[in-house]
Amino acid sequence: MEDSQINFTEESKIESIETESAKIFEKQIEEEISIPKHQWLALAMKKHPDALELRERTHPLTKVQSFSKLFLSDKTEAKYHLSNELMVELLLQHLQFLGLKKSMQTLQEESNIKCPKSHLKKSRLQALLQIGLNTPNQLWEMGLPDMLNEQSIEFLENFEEQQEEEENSQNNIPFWEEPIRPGENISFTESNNEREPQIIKAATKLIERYHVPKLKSTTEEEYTTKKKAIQLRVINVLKLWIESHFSDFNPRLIHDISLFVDNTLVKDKYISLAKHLRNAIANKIDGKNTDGLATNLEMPPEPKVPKNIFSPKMTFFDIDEEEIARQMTLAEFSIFSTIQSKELLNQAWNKPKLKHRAPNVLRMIYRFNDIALQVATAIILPTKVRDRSRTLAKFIRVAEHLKALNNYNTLMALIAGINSTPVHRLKQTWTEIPYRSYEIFNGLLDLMSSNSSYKNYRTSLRNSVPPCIPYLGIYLTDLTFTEDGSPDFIDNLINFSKRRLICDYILEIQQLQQLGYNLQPVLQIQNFLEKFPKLSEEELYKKSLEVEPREQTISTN
Amino acid sequence: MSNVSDSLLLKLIIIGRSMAGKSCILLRFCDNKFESNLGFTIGVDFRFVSLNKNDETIGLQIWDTAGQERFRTITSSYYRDADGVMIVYDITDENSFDQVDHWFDEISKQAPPSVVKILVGNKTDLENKRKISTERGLNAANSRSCPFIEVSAKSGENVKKAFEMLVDAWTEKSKQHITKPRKKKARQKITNESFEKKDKGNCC
Repeated sequence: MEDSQINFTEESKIESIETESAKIFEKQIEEEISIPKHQWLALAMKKHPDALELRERTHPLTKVQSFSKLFLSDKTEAKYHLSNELMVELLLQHLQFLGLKKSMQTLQEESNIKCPKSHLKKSRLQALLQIGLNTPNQLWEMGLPDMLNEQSIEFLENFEEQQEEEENSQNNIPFWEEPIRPGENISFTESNNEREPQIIKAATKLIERYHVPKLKSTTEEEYTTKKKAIQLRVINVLKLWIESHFSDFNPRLIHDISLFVDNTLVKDKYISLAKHLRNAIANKIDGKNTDGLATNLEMPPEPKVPKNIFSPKMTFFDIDEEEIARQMTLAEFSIFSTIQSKELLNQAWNKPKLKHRAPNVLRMIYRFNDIALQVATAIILPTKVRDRSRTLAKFIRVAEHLKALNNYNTLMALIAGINSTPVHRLKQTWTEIPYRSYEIFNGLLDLMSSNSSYKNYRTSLRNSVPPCIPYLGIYLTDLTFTEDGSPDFIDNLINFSKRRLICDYILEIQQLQQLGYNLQPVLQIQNFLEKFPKLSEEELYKKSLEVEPREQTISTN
Repeated sequence: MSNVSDSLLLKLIIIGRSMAGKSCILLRFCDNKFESNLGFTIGVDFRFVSLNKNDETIGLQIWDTAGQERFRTITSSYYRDADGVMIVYDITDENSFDQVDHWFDEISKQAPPSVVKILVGNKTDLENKRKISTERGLNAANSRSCPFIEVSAKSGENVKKAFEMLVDAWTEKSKQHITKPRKKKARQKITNESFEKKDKGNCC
């Protein structure tokens, strides 16, 4: 017993000595290196770039592995579903995606399998799902065990081609028969999905550009300086992209760009730039928006609120014209300021297939048409001539205030409503309005006249001090002429002066979007204005004939 | 008033489905811009062209709805004081031809009865993709007794001729109704007249 006790104490002694020395040793190491555990990997990779490169190369492999482990835990089953060929294809896709062209080529040569070209357009899974929506039976068949036989692959390829053709052909619905408010079904997430392949392609191209190929004719020195310049530019473009167009970034793109930043950039010793980009992405994700709308520090002018604002009996005539113009302007600007530059490219607002790319431009157009119809309806509905002309005169005064607020878009909508055939033909109503109103309206008509390509309006817009809402239609016409009027390529080179012209228009719009109106919103009035009744053009014409029949107009003529 | 002086100014409008190539026709007609390699700037007088016809200079003020097709409510007022309308469809696009009916209806509703029309089939350079035969185009135009021509904005074929035909149709029509020749600032004239009427009718 005693022996054993002694033994025990001795043993524990030795043990405690050992642990103590180990602790001291650990401490020593810590003091010597003092690196927190979570930084070990990063440091090791930095010290041994060759290891990092290997890691990057094996990354697709490990990803596929973990993917198959996660979803198909049984190995035999995984083999059954994921044939060798498919695995290689997936690998190729991934390599292509990462811009590792050499490895891709080697793999292609060695395996004799080509990289599926559809990757950049849409993923196979997406194509499968699309087939599923169109023809559920065929999808079921393809999902059967002999899934990726030659036949089904052929079918898949045919389907993809077909889709492409369909996308190129035009939509069969004339635009006036389209649903009245397709804008409401459109969201930005949808448009991003559609654009995703293009965006990923752009990112891939950028990363490809970063890996500058070495020409045989250049010397090593020349190559390094050139490479460095190009790489810095690529980084600059990335920075600009992240900072000014973060709406393009979806989780996939963020992941891929982060990967590029963390691996390639760090490897090439652009440490501080990589850090900068990482911070920029993080800031954007956190929603820290450094460049918001410029806000005015002054107090907005006191809104002219009618006494009976909370009463359901409040009428159009109770509200001051200036306040009506102000509230219309606030509502208009809230849409105008959301227009994204990409909505204005490729005449997207006019092409049925691209319409979903321009949700806010369309919202603005639909609102424009709505206002014009509402104005016409409000003028035509009263049965008494005096009431009609009273409404007309009121709208003309509102238009005058809209002009004072530099809100040309709503002004144009009001003019369109007042000048529409059903209102224009109401001779009796027009003779009842004050002479001054008539003069003002003619002045506004002249200002917004289409003569000489809207010369008067263009001059007036140029001389306006922001805040300002331009009439969107003219930008759209100018963009259309610029897009149609000059070629995209000259001798296989991009026609830059065309792009610059388009850019100028968009910059002009962006500039006007910067400065918002310093006005107090009055929700009751905004709601009231939105709820104005609205008849269709046909109904308006009928009503117009009812209130002032044709015979009478002929007799006054 | 009735003499056709050299200050004669006609207002023409071009309408048609959004992708029918209206803007290209206008660009081709104005300056042969289609071939210019560099981009162009849209000047203020971009849509003003003068045409020489039998030693007379006729100013054409051309309005094009390109890009603004969806602003439905705005177009109606442009028809009102137009002298001529060019309706464009794309010979490779069945839908653009179907819509020709719609445009003719619109004109009869909105434009003055004196307005002259021409139906234009565009994109004859894409002969192999043609879907609308010349006969169909001609029939559609005949049924509305208006001239018809097929053009190519890309090659420039017949573009100038189309505008000349429209001007010819206008001079023909104005000879029949000598009462309504248009001079510059015709628009203001008309509004002044309605003013006078208004003054008689009301005293405020």
